[in-house]
Amino acid sequence: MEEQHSFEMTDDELNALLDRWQAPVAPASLRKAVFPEKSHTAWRRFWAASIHVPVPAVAFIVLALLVWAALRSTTVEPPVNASRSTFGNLMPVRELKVRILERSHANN
Amino acid sequence: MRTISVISLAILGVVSLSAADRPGKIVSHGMTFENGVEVHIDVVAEPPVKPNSSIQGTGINYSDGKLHRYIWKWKDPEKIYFGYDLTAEPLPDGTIRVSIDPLSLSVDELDKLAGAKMFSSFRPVIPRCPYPQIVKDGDTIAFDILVSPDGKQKIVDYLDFSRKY
Repeated sequence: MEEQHSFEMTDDELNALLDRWQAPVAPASLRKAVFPEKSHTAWRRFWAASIHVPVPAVAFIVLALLVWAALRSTTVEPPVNASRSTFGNLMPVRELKVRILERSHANN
Repeated sequence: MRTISVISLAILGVVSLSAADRPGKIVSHGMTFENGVEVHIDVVAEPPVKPNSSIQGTGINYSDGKLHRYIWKWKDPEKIYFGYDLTAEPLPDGTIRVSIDPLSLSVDELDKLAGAKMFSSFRPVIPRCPYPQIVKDGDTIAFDILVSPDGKQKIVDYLDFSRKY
């Protein structure tokens, strides 16, 4: 009959072993992997920045833009006009009275 | 239908005086008819006015062998538009027959050219038009289009005609 070896340890033995055990030192790469270095440049912070806007506010802004676009497409703003300009009181003629200027006169 | 459209808002303040061969020129339009007659339109203020004044709108459109010339005023005292149709026909003797007729563009067509519902709120003004005129190559036809109540200030169209062939 073969002799059987038992590797079972008692609680006391395990506790003694645990007291002697020392945890291995963490590799340097572990910290970088778990805690990546944050960029502190203003440019990166700018692009990463975000704000929280309530949905009703966004809906109101979108609606206002749509109304503005619809109104803009149906009305034409007159050009900036010097209201009392020289042309302000000009009116169309009732009859187009032609004058023919011959080339020699027209060039003058 | 062949259509050429030119709309220009002429603001005197931005018109380069160096480009003006006629004193008081506000803006120019030009085109060549399919029959080879070339027309150049100078819109001229007489007497010339100082910058910072503004004329309203002026433009041309070409369709069906006619040049449609139109002018509009935004206000003072009301919104109006008017214009005329121009046709030019070369004659065998080298002259050109020029016909000036009432503007045939509809409000819808003008709105389409403007890209907005604009002319539908304007009152049309239809001036009486002259009989057809016979001019020589290089001649100019001129007529007033806008006049002040006292007659001292005018806007005049100068139409220069030439034949390309």
